[in-house]
Amino acid sequence: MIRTVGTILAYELRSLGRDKKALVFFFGVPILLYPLGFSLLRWASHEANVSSESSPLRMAWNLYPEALEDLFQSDSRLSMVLTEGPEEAVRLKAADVGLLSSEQNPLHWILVFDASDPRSLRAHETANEILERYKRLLLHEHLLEQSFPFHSAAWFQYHSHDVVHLDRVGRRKLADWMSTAMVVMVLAFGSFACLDLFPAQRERGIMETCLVHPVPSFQWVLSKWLVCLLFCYLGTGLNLASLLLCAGMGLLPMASEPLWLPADRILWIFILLAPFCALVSSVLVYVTSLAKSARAAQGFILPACLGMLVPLYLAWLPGSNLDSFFCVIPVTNLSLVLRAFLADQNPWLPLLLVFFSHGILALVFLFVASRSWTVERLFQIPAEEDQPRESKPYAEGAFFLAAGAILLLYYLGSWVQSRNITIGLLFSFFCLLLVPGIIYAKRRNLRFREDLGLVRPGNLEFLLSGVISFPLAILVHRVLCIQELLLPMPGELEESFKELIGIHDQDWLWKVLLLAFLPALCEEFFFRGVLLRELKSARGTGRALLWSSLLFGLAHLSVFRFLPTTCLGFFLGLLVLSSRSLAPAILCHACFNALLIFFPEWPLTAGKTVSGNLLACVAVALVVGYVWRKDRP
Amino acid sequence: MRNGFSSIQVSSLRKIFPGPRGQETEAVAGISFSCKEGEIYGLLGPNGAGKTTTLRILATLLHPTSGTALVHGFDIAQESIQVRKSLAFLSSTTGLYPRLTAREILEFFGRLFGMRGSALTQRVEEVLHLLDMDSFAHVPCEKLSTGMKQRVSIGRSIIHDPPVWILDEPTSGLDVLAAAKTRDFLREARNRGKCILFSTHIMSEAESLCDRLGILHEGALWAQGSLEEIKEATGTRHLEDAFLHLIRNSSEGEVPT
Repeated sequence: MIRTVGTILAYELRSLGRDKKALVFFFGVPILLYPLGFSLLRWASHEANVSSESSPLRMAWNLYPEALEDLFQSDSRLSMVLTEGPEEAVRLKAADVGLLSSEQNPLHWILVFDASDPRSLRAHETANEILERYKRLLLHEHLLEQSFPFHSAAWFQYHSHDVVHLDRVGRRKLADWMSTAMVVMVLAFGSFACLDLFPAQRERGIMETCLVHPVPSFQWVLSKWLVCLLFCYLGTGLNLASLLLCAGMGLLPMASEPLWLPADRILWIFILLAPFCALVSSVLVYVTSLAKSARAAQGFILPACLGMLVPLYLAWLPGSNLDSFFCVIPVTNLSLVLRAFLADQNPWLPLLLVFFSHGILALVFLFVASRSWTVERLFQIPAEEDQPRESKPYAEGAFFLAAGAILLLYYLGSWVQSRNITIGLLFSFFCLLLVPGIIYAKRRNLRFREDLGLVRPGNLEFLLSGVISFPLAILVHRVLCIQELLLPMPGELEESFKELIGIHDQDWLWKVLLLAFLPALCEEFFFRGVLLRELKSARGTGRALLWSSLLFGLAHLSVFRFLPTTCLGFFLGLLVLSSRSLAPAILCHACFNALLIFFPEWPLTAGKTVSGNLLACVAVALVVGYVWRKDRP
Repeated sequence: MRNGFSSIQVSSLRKIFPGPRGQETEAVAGISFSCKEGEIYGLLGPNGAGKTTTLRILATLLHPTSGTALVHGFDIAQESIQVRKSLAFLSSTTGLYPRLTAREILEFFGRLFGMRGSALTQRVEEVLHLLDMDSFAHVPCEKLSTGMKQRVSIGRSIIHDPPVWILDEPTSGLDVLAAAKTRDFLREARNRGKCILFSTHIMSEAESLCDRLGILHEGALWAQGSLEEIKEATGTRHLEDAFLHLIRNSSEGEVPT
């Protein structure tokens, strides 16, 4: 058995390794993409001048330098460093090593020291004392309430009791970030391998060739699982190594300083990777072996991947620690143990539980896969049913696409926007809506002209769509007023929203492109092009309109804007359905956004009177009626 | 060989596929035939007649609903691993690893049959030479022409030199020259005492190659015997006429003989 499994493993790996896409994943991404991408991101962050100012301590330093300088200079240990210089302070044993830095900023000395160095622990205590006094000063001055951004104050209160220096903060962030990267990479490599090993081989007839050889099914499944495991491990390992190198060079966005991890911590990261790869491989082997074709397998893989991200995010919840509950949840425990390892702890028992929970689950999936992967089952379906079913309705795909996009917008898009609003908006619209929509449409073989409505509309209805945005703004504002009765928007949120739509340092053309045209294009393509079309063919026009509007409302990631955005989505959907083209909806959406940017008070003043509202209703109804009547068969 | 003269013995073989809404499809309706050593037996039938299903059952890829079959004396239901070791199976749907070369394919599948070391190397060279594959032995299969791929597939299936060959439309998709070469290769194998069961819907090929024939339609075997016997039974002069005669009779509700 071992010899047979070894033979299959060797030849399958050889075959898989010759795929050019695999080579790109293995070498192109870690060698080229990460260093270049992170360098660009870092450059963008520096351009926006936000990265170095994100720490609350540094912000306080910038706001009240005199008060803080007085405070630090009154500390005898620091004053020695300041007056005599770091080397002299060391010689006179007047300062801890942890307080030393090449920079002439005492605050920086507190923030930067190596927590893995035992000598620094003493400095850590000193720093804590100083920090306590410093916090009292801050509270006294009401800095937290008045001058600090909301999220920074919360961050400060949450982290300051145990984490006071950039290294440790960086490591915690790195741990969270790395566990996500690990999950995503393992899923990507595993999916790549399994798609090639099961559905693609089935489509090419290789599976039939293999099964006429005197090897039991279980040995095939076991060998292919090992191929997937090795592929996942090697691919993810190379990518992680590249990420760690980027962290060491200070390129990663979560740490502005170079963050070299000790060798034993890196070793633990790679040890932790193994059980996770084993689990993901077995799940993917099971999932893909069920599929009749590569296309169907992709439909199975996406929900499986999203399902695995859920326990990962459990680990990010406040209060989630390595206790008896979280220790046994696969993926969650992996993330928590990784965080503990990067914080220089050695949680042996949880580590054992990681191996145990992942191993048991992997075995279960492997067993089920080998039971279901029988020769009879693979060939009992007539050949014509194996054909791709791209023309058949597939509502689940649309829902998964929307759910994935909303999750990514919430976690990734918001994060990038918080670093740099311009880059964040571009990234969110292009990378999280437009590109996934195009990829989905290509995968499902949707026709861009006929199915997605990328056709030229009639001149008059195109013009009317632009004009109608004015009365539409009045109606949407009315809906906003109704929502405010039930759920008033907090003042600071309203302010931040106004700030967002009025980016002051941008010129008007850039504003139109970034805030009016780009969201109109990307959102209309995603929600009214792809989602509405998919849902319409699967669930009927009415339900499709309703679902696409609700998803559009949800994608704006704010409960305070849910009702008006849903209404807007409903109307735009109606426009697309009646005109059978995306262009009127794109123009209407762009004009609507532009109106809010340049004349934010207009819907308020125009909608004050009853006649204004009535006129708006009539105008909208007339235009929809005209477009609908014109295109009805 | 454990069980006497016939390398393939099929009796009352039946296969029913469950349909998506509860209805059943009878792909093979209780057929019986046998094939001897040094004989080519052709299963002749239109598309959907049940040829591929029959051959897949014999290759242990599908389980029969009822009936039995012995391949080289081994029961297909009870001794599937022994059956697989005794036969070469090739169908139009059996594929090759696109990124492996012809030589690697032969080595890989040879290893799966337990061949190792110099015996494997020698056999690979022999098959490469036998099927005239030396010139493209190092080329990945995805870059080969259809005829070349078919030769690799044949080489893959016979790498362990089995006594029974089951080939499903082996000349399908080949040009005239490649098909003629394949037929010559099959004749040569028969002369070396191999038992060859193959399916086709090309009349001329069946006429020129087969020692005995079975005409399969809608899962049932309507006639079997030598070419002359079938012509005599149907009162026709050509195989094609005999075939059409039998198929028409089947649609008029007559029972198979």
